[in-house]
Amino acid sequence: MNIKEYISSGILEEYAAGAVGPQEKQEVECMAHIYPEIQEELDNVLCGLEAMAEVQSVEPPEVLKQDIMSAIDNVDQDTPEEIKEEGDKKTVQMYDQEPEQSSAKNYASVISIAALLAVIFAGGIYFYGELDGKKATIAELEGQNQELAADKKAVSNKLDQVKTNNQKVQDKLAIVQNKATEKVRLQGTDNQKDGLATIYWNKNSNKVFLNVNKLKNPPTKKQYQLWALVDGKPVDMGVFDLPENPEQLKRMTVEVKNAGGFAVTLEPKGGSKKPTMDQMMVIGKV
Amino acid sequence: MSTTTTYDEKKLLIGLRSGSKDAFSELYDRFSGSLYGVCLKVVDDEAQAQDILQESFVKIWKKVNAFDENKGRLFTWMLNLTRNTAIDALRKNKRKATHKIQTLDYDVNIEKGHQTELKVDAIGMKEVVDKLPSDQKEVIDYLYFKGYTQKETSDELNLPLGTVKSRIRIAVRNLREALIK
Repeated sequence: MNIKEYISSGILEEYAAGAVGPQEKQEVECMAHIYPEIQEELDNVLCGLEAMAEVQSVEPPEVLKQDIMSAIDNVDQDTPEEIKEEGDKKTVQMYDQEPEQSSAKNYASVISIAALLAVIFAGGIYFYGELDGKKATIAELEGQNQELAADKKAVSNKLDQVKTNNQKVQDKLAIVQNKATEKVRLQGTDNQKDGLATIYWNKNSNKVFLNVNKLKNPPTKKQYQLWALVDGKPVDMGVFDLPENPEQLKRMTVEVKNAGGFAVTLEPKGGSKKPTMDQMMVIGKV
Repeated sequence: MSTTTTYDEKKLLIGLRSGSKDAFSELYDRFSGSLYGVCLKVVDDEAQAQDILQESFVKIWKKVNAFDENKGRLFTWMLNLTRNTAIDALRKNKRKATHKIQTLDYDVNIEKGHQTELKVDAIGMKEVVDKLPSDQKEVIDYLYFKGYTQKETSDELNLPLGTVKSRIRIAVRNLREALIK
């Protein structure tokens, strides 16, 4: 990807002035995170704005200082623990909002960047709940009226399904609420503007969980593949199929440390060794 | 006042974090001018600007442990905190206004380390700012200081969206070029 072009496009200036929407904001932060030259230029741009604020300084009235100095007498400084708690709460709140609708934004730059850049996908492992085996009641019922037996069988299956789903929800909750878990939202690209997936990455165990919020059905002969971006290189996290239940968390068999971001591409069935950049569906940075 | 290396940010931070009022007093002396200037640009009213400045400095005192020096400079953090406080106040003022308020959370720190030694030629910068065309100053005011979106700015100033976009790029670019490399 052409870093010089990206820098001279003016997007960094717009970002610094707070003039971009959420998608572009994330794109810029992603680029800066990955390319040190972009981060450096962004720093300079931000400094320019701050310097402007500085040279336009105005002395406040002297009495204000006394007011402020006495005001802080009654205010305790937040401890680092309190601040972390508040930060975690805020993060959860932010993530609990409805996913934003993608505006018609051009992700070609992101995709071409990703061509040089490995996209990292975090995967999750599907929890295949174990359906309890049919109980003796089913066997008893099967001895009775055939129609009645069939009905009861259906009801029992449903109950097992509900129990399984409940267990999956509990498990998912445990992962999501785990303090060591980092949540990464993967937003849709031009290939699927409303695409959305979420990665839960446990930084202690390096386990990666994938939640597919919204991905369209892959064409036959194609499969989705998850990639993690580690030190600028794509790491294959495995292929996956769309879960029956969008609430499901899939635990990926590959563990990853030091991921900078994750992405999903559409590959031929069975996956590819390297990601097909123009088939990227969702991407997000850690 | 400037953010050149003539003051020891580390020392000041240690003082602030250990609850030293002397350190806080030094912080105020050094930065209140810049931050008050920002408040005035946002709300245009001295009384309110002073309230906002007070609120901001109290927040800075309270939240000093939230500042992470690995993510940027102290002034950046304080500037954004103040700007956001001022923009919140501005929005409350306009609660009955018809235009939508942008919901971006600019409290989020920009990641990665920054150079801690920024050389700002204050005089050179002042010249550049003074010479900045007023239409460029205007878009910076609305977008950066008052927190308007590009759409809101274009509505407010009766300018095409494309003009707002290109103008802010040029304006911010001019400021960036004024820095010593």
